Formats: sequence, structure tokens, C-alpha cells
Amino acid sequence: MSLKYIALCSLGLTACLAQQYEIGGTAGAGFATGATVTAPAGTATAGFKSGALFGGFLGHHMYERVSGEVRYTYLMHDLKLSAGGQEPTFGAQAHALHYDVLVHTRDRESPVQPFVAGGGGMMLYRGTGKEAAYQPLGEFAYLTKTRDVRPLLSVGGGVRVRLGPRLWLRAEFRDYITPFPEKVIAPASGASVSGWVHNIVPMASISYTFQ
Amino acid sequence: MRRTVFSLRPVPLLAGWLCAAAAYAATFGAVVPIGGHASDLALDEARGVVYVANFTANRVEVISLQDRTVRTSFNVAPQPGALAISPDRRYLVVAHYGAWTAPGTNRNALTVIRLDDNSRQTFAMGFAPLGVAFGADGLALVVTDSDLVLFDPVSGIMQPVGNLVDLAAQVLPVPQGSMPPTILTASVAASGDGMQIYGLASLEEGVIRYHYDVRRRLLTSFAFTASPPVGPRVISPSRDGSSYLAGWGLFDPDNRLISQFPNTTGALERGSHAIDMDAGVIYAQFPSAISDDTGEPEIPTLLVLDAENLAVRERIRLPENLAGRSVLNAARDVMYSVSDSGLMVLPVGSLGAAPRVAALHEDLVFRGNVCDRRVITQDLAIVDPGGGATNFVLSVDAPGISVMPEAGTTPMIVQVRVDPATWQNQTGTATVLLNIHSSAAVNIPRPVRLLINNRNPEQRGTFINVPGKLADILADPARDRFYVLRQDRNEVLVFDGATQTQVAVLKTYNTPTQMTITYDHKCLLVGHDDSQFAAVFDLDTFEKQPPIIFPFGHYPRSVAASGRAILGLSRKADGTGTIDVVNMATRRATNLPSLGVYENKLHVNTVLAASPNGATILAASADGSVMLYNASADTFTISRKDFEELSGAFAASNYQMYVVDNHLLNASLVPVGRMESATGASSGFVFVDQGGFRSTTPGDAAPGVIQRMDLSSAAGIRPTRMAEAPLSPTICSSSKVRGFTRTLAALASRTAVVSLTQSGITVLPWNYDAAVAPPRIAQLVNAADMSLPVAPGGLVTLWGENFSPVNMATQEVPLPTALGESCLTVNGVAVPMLYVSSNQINAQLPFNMDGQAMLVLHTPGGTSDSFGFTVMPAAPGVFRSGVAGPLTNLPTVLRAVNGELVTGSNPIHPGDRIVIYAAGLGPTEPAVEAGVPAPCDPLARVVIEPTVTLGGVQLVLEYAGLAPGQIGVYQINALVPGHVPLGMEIPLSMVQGGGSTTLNVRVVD
Repeated sequence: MSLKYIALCSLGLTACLAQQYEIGGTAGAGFATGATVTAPAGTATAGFKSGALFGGFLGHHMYERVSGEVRYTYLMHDLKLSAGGQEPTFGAQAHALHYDVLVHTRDRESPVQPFVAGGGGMMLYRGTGKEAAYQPLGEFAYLTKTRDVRPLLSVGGGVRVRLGPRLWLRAEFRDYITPFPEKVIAPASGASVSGWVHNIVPMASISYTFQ
Repeated sequence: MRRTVFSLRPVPLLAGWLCAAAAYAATFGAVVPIGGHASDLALDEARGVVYVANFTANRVEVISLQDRTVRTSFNVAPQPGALAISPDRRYLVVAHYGAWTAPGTNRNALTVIRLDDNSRQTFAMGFAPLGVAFGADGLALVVTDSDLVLFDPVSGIMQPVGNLVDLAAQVLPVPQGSMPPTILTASVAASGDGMQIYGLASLEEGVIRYHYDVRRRLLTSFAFTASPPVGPRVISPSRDGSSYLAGWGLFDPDNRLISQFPNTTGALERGSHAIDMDAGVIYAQFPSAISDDTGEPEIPTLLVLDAENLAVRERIRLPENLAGRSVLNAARDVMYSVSDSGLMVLPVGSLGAAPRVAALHEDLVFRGNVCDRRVITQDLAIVDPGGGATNFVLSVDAPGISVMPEAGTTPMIVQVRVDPATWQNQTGTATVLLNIHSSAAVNIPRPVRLLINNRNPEQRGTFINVPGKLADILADPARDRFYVLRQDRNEVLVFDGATQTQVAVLKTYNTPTQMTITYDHKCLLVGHDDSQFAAVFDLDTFEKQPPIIFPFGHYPRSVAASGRAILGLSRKADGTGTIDVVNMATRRATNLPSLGVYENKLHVNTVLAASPNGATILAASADGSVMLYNASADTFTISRKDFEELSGAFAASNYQMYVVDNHLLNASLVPVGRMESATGASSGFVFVDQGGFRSTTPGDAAPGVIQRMDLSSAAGIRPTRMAEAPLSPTICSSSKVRGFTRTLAALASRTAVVSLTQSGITVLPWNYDAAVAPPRIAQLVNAADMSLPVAPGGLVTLWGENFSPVNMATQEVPLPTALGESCLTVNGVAVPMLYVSSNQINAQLPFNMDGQAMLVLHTPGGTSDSFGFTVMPAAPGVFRSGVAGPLTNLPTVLRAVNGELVTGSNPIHPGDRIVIYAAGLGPTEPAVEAGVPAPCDPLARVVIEPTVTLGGVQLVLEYAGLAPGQIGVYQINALVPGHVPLGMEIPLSMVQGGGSTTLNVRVVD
């Protein structure tokens, strides 16, 4: 997605306020990639356990084939660290808040509407587990009870299917891309972590449109 | 009928304990006088009475159990000597002893009293009845001076059961002062279930015990001679008949002597006993054969004994002597006994609530050292075991010892203070008894042994207090353990060789004397001087196995196991010794007809020692004789008498060398060398390979000497003074192996040699005699973080060389001022120590010091050069002793919310409360003495308050002072504000009185 396209969409939002709106709820599962932690003792993989997600969105259709929506997603996302056959985990959750622009391949009245989506926002990672003086693989990183806010890039797509005059079913996915949350998974002294976190989140949504 | 002999041998006991009772003191039990001599009693709980036969007044007194008064009396035929009540409680049968010398006529009879209506019927008897007991079949077994008959109280029919010829009752009239037990000389009693009847009577020569099996109607008897006489003349079966006491012996149903009570006069008319097998105790009075040399009559004493082995648990004062049968009621909480005045009622079930006094510790050890000549104070708790408030008085008859207070009411902590200056001329361990008196207590308290040691730095070994009379020590050849016989409690104490801590206690029979381990290393055998048994313990499980039964009248006081035979040296009642051979399969020992070509008759004070390889057993006798059993030949091959007398150490080697006393003997027991005696009397010897260790003692309060032995020349190598003296032959003579002592054991791990010594055991490292260089102090740092400087009262670590030949940490409180043969002074003041090793000492500096200080270390290798250092008013350092999982050396900073150490995975959060443990925060208010735990009320707060910051933000200080209960450890409680810098390494700093310390912690929000 280019900056130019985002600017165009923003103009469209202003121009089409009186157009059609859409509100919906979503559920699914999150699958996150890990990052490599490098320490004097070797390497470990830090990341998240797969977990369920819930969320909601509020969108508006600015043009026949272009819409935008604000989305909030809650991900049950325990932290984990893996090395040498050990995999300590730590209770955690993530909150994603972002704005996506959707480009539909058919008109808005079409009963089946494939679309692609892209946008950005913020991801809040929160460690919630029980703290202890000793944590396995502590020579690589500490899974920590704290919070870490990271910028989020959202890309994805899906299909929107009409169920009724105003009721829609959406099957879609997103890839929430954030920098690695180095506060909740803090590299130990002498260790470093690099890379991005990809949260692949397939979802199913029910939405309702109104004027 | 078998005839054999058995005997007691009087030996000195704790005479002080026996004789310590005040002339006028509380007693236990109530006396009911009957105005005559009581001869027997029978309990009738259903009617609430006890019947007492009044032998001289020709009455049966009926005494109320409720108010303990004579409710009524049955006038009966003359001399009611015995009585018994039928199992259905309908008949009371009274035996009248009527054997008179001419011109008197015999008036022997039985009276049957029907208790429902008190009607009576008297039956004449031809022979004089001595005793009567009812079986469960409702028939009374009547013992006469000639036979036994079964008497049916319903029909009056008498059936003969058997003859007991020549019973030796006295014929009337008798000399003045004769009591019924000395006239009748017989006792018979039934077990609680009425299935077994046991009896005891005098013969013209000797004594006879008999057993009547009620169900099988089978009579067996067993005659023997005994010295002293078998008194008290009472027989007391247990409720189930599984054991019984006859006189001073405890027997099983097969007439085997389980244990006997030593040191009693055997007087027939004094004492009594009753068995409560459910509670595992025996209540007994045995008059003592030990004179207290005061001329005062012996205090009547009720002994509470262990029913398994007659170990004395408690001594209780009685108002007068017991003098015949005792019975327990059904609830086993009241004992009724025939006594001098008639009847004594002893509420034994409430003995726990009776006023008593006891000290919580058997021994108090006072360890002086060259660094510390201050008065040593120890706390001693005096309590009433029943929890009551009982008055007491303490006394000690020795200079330099004081007790504060000397009198009080339980429970109370008293302070015993010893001035080492008074004892500075003796460098061993002096033993002083602290006596406890109480006019209100019914018990006779044991005195407390005060053990005062004033060793010099060059004296080697660490002594460990083991209370009691220790008689033998033995190292386990297959396990890193050693065994110690505690004779006064009838116990084998099992010690771990690595830690020298007691790991198990095994109960023996009475008066254990010597141990041996079977050749297969599986079992420990224990010989006794007051039991017919040798105890057997499985060394893997510590389970007590069936004992080895020696011939009746044999007391296996010394046992030894070769590869072929296990031999026991038994004391016989005729005052001689004899060798029995043990069959482990049958658990029987049999007397050897001869010892090879030699007769099987030895001096009674003979000891056996097996060579570790099982090839030979040495027998050494006090009369100077020695013998050798050869396992290959399975017989005694050598007997010699080259000495006038022998005593002290005895041992056998794997290399056909033997040691007895100061003599070294070759394979033929020919003396080939004489070891020096200048260092004192022979005490212990243990062979190791072709050499050995030898200990000698110049006196109980002097240091003993240990040395390695060169067996080729019988010369000692590097004689070294010990911390205290090993047990001497004189002391061990009271263990009944007169004059012979086994006080040394070399551990199988070859890490240490252990000696029985005055205070218990002394542990010497294997290389105790290695040359030790003078100590050199290289560095002194704060023990918390190994930093400088240090502060008053601070825990410090010294680094250097030659600090101590042993590694040792202490858990003593207060901390000792000498540890592992090393002691330390700062400006001449003794320093409490926590840990010593060859290159490290942990200690606590005194609180009252500042500025420049000089430190000196005294060790067996000499005295260090003075080490100068600076003491700051405060020098905080956070301990690096935290442990979390495999993580070590963590700073001891804790989050209060979860009580865990602050680490990367447990970071500090804004708003947290943290607890910091540190050292070196200086003096406190109130002041606390070095080496003493900090109080909890009031708390000892630091005089100079520290400032604690986190990332430059000051924390709210909630407490800074000594951690309650800890020694030299300070605790700081602080609150973290809401706004502190976050990060992986935020500096946590503590600043106090010019000193400071900083460490980095992780802080997250």
C-alpha cells in the first residue's frame, strides 16, 4: 500500500460520510511467528502461543468498491521461549487497534464481494503471567509481566457474502505485523533479538449495514 | 526340672542421682494403714473394694477404692498369707499359712468367702498353702510347701496338679521383724486373661519358678540358684501373659530372661512391680544395693521402667516401701500395692499431672578457648513435664560456676555461668553435676552434667556432646557409619560418618556392653550384662531381629564375629566367664565344652575382639590371660598368661597382630613390644592396615593423646593432644567390662577417627597429625558482597592460608568463639565465628569498635601475624547469597508481593515494597551483642539511617535494622514510588554514614 493510496482513501472518507456504514463482530484464531534470540549460550526462539481472538469493527463505504473500517482485536497470546527442548510460557494478551482500507472487486450491492485490505495502527502486548525469580531459559530472555505498545501494519483480504438485505458474512484474514515487543520478552543481558512479529489471524465476521 | 544359676552384679550407678533426694519432699501415692502386716491383696473393682490379707491380725481388710478407708474386715482363720478372687467375682479364696513348730499344731487351711452374702467355709489342708491364684477356668491353683492343687471353690474339691518338693517357707514362730514375704517366700499370680499362672518360691537351696498353662492343665517348673536373692518376692505377669516379672528379672513365657534389674539387694520383703504392657511401662520398686554412705535409709523409690528392656524412665518418691503384690486396675491408671503399712494406692495414670521437675538438657557444654576468657553463659530450661508450676532449687558444688537464679518455679530459664579463668589450668573437659532439688516434686530429678572444656589451640579434634554413659564404639566396615552404645538408656546410637550426626536409635536389652558386626556385614549384635539375650539388628533396615538366646544364667557381655564362628563371652553367676558359640540360624548360643585343649573357664572380666578379616578372635582377660580363636581351625589354638593383669584397649588386626593394654602381641600372642605409658593409661586402639591409632588418657579432665602406631617397633608416631580425654579404664569399669575399653573407631571412608571421650565423641580428621603451618591472613572483606570497608557488628570473611585443618560450620547459638580448633581476636576481643576452612573464615566483628583494628588468628599451627584493617561506622553491603533455581549468588533483594528475589524475570514494579538483606550497617538501638540473634521485640534499628535510591529516586524507608532472629544480618524494608526510571539495569543504591553500595536491578511498569 502506498502513501498516495492512503491519502486518497482519507479524502474518500470525508466525501462519503453520508454513505453506507457497516458494524460487525469477529472471531478467529491467531498464529504468530517467533523471533530468534541470540545469546552467548546459543540461540532461542521467542514468540507467542496460538490463541483465540475476538474483535469488532465499524466501517463505511465511501465508494462503490472502496471502504474503510476501524478494527479492534483482542488476542489471547501467551508468550513462549523455546530452546534445547525447553519451552517456558507466560500468560499474555495482545490488543490491536487499527484502521484498514478495503478494496472490493465488485459493486457494493453484489452478493459476493472479494476484497483486499490494508492499514495500520497500534498493538499493545501485555504480559500477565505469575512472576518468579527463576524462569527457565533466563539466559536468553525474560517473559515479563509488563506492557509494550508497538506500531502495527495490517494487510489481508477476504470475501464478503450477503446473508440478508443488511446482513453480511465475512471470511477474512489479516497479518498484523509489529516490531518485536522487547519489553514483555526482554532479551537477557548479553542477548539480542531481531525481526518482526507476524500475527496471522484468520477470522469470520458477521456485519450489519445501515445508512 | 532344670537347675541353673543366674545373678546380678552390683555396679556403681549415678549415685548422686539416687541419693540426691531431699529428706523431706513430696511423695507420690497414698498409704492405707491396716494395723498389721499385709501379705497379699485382690482387687474387686465391681464392688469398689480391694481385699488385703492382714497376715498377723487374722483379718481380710475390705478397703474402699473410693475413699481409701477400711470399709469392713472379715475375721478369718489365722495367718491369711494369700488370697485370690474368682474370675466371676463370686468367691474370695484365702490361704492360711499354719506351719508351726511343735508344740504348736499346724493350722493350714483355705477359706472360701462367698462375696454375695459374705458366708464363709474353711477347708483344712495337710500342707501349708503359700499362694493362690485363679485361672480362667474358675479353679484356684493353690501352692503349698509340698505340692500344687487345683481347688474348686464351689464344690470344695481339691485335685493334685504336681509336686514342688522342698519349698522353703519359714516355720512359725519366726524371728522378730520377719515380714510375710520372708516367711512365705512364695508368690503366684495369673495373667490378666487367666490363661497363664506363674509362680515363684524358695527351695531349700535356690529358687523355683513354675508355670501352669490353664488351658492345657500343664505344669512346668524351673529351679535355679541366684545371687542376690530373687526379691522382691513378687511375681507380676503382663495382662496377656506374654512376659512376667519374677523378683528382679523380666522373663518371657519360655522362662528366658529378657532383662534383669541390676544393683538391687534382692530383699524379699521390700519392693514390688506391675507391668502395663499396653503403655510399654513397668512400675517397680527395687531396693538399691548401692550405699550412699550417709547412713540414712534409702528413699523408697518407684521406678518407671521401659517394659521392653527395663531402662529407667523416671524415679518417683514413695511415702514408704512397697512390700508385696501390686495390681493395676482395668483402666491401668491406679496401682494397688502391698506396702509396709498395709496398702498403697498409686494413681499412676495421673503421674503426668503430678508436680515434677526436670531439666530440658542432660548436658550443658561450656567451650572455652585461648581467645575468649570471658564468662560463658548457657541457658537451661527447668520445667515440670506435666506443665505445672513447681518449686525447685539448683545447686552446684564447684568453684567458678554460678546459677542465676538458684531457685524458682517451673517453667523457668536459668543461666549457668562458668568463669573459664577458674578452669584455665586444665585443658581437658571437667565434669560437674548441677543438682536439682524440689520439695514439691514427686520425682527425683536427674542432675545436669556441666562439661567445661578449656582446650588450647594445638589440641586436635572436635568434640560432640553425646549425653549418657557410653560403653562402646564400632565403625561399620561396609557403610560410612559408626555405632555408639549408650548404656544408661539401653540404646545403640547410629551416627553418619560424614556428618557425625545421629541418624537412628536402636533399643537393646538391659545394660548393653559390647557390639560386633557379623562377617557378612549385615547384622549388628549387642551383648548385655543384664540379659540372657544378645540383640540383633539388621544394618540395612535398622529392624530389630529375633535375639540370640544364650544359656540360662549366661550374660553375654562380650561378643565377636569371625568368618566362621560368632563367640560370646558370658558372665556366669558363679563369678566366672565362659565362651558360648552362636548359631545365627537358630538364634541360639551353646556353651562350648572346652576351648580347644583348654577348659572353658575364663576370668569374668574377659573381652573378645575379632580381626576385621574374620580370621581370628582375641580373648583378653583382666587376670592377664589371653587366648586366640582361629577360624580356620575352628578352635582356640593359643592360651597364654604372660601378664599379671590387663586392662585398657584391646584389638585384633588382619595381619596377625594383637593389642591388649600397652602390649603388642604377635600371631602366637607372644608379647613382642610394649607401648609407652608416659602419655597415660591405655584407652583405645584400632588397627588400620599394618598400623593403627592408639589413644591414652592421663586423667579425665586432662587432654588425651592420640598417636599413630608403628607396629614393627611399638613406637608411637606424632603423639597429639586431643580436645578432651578419651574414656578411661576407670570410667569404663562402670560399664562392667571392668578395665577394658574400646574407645576408638576408624571410619570405613578413612576420613576420620572417632573416639569416645568425656563429653561424648571426639572426631579427628584422618590426617589430624599433619604438619600445620602458622595461619596467614591475606584479606578481610564484608561477607555480604566481599567488599571493603567493614563496619562494627559486620559479618566478615577472612581469606588466607592454614586457617583450620577441618571445614566446619556451626549452628550453635550464640555463636562460638572457637570453631574447628581455631579462634580469632580483634583488638584482643574474641570474635564469634560461623565457618572455618583451610582458607576462609566467616565471623562477626564486635559492635564496640571503630577506626584501626588488629586481627589475630590462633590455630593448631600457631598464631598469625597481626592483620590491620579499618572499621568504618557503617559499610553496607547487600548479600550475594540469593538462590533461584540454578541461579546462585543473586543479590538478596526481595519483592514483598511474592517474597521472591528480584531478578530479570521478577523485576521491580513502581509501587512495590522491597526487602533488602545486608551486612555492615553498624550499631543498633537497642544494642545487640555480637554472636547473638537479633531481638524481635523491640526491633534493633540502625543508629545511622541509610538512604536508599532506585535510579536516583529515593525510596520510602520503612525499616532498617537487624533482621529478627538473625545474627549480623540487617534488613531494610522500602517502598518504591510510582515514578521511577524503568529499564534492565537501574542502579539500586544504599548510602549510609559515608559508606555506600550499589547494584543494578530491572524495573518495569
